[in-house]
Amino acid sequence: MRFVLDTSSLINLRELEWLDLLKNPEDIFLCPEKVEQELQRKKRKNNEIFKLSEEGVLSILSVSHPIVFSALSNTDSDAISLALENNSTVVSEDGLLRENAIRYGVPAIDIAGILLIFYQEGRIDKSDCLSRLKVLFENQILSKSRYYQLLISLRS
Amino acid sequence: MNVTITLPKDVIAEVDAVTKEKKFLNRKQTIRSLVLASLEKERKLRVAKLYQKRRKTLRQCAEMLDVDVEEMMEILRECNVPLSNGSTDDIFKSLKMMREQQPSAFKDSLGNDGANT
Repeated sequence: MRFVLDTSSLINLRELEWLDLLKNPEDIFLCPEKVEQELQRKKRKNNEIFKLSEEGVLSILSVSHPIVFSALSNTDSDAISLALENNSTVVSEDGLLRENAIRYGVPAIDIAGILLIFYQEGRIDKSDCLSRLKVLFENQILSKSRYYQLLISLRS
Repeated sequence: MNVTITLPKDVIAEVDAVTKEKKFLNRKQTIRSLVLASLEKERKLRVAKLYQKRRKTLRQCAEMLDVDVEEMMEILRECNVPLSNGSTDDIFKSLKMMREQQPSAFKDSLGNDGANT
């Protein structure tokens, strides 16, 4: 699977010490140049993210044909454009960004969505998925309604 | 610009207590500081609401408050606004789109919606 990671998701994965989730040879993780520039402002803090880039786990790419979304900033637009160019899924915690991506035909999920896919694909077990969703909820990354909806879908 | 305000006695007593505790020079300086802090908090709450209602993106909110994305994430936490909110329809819609666009990436490779969708 191919994913384009946005700043919000990368920061959360770093904070939760979940960057290892990205170390899967079956997946390709991309990051727009503008997102990397954003992360460079706190270089020391984001050292673990840059290590992933050095290891080839995360590829930093520039956008060849940027699409301008009037409701979004240039960096937001670049995340969607890069996903479109690489037939990828946007990963962002930002609801408005996801909304615009989906409207444009680009799949967009949050970290909870990644967990759901990894569970469905058998890469993490149900209890791991549930406990990680709980962590997202407890850290105010995932809203209560979103958390409960995901719990229901996992238990059905 | 100067503004004159009238406050109840007990509030003035509280202002005096804060003045003493925080070592402000006088009531005027204390009230000024409290008003500015309150306005700053309100501004953050107003911007956080725009994010929650999906009227602005995280970056646009950060720009409005002149902070970076990570600081904006912290402000949302202070305001009790979860970063990822709204219905999970977007996840399930995206999963369906992914199965159509990247069918070979999924184990079943059948392009179906999977057990949970």
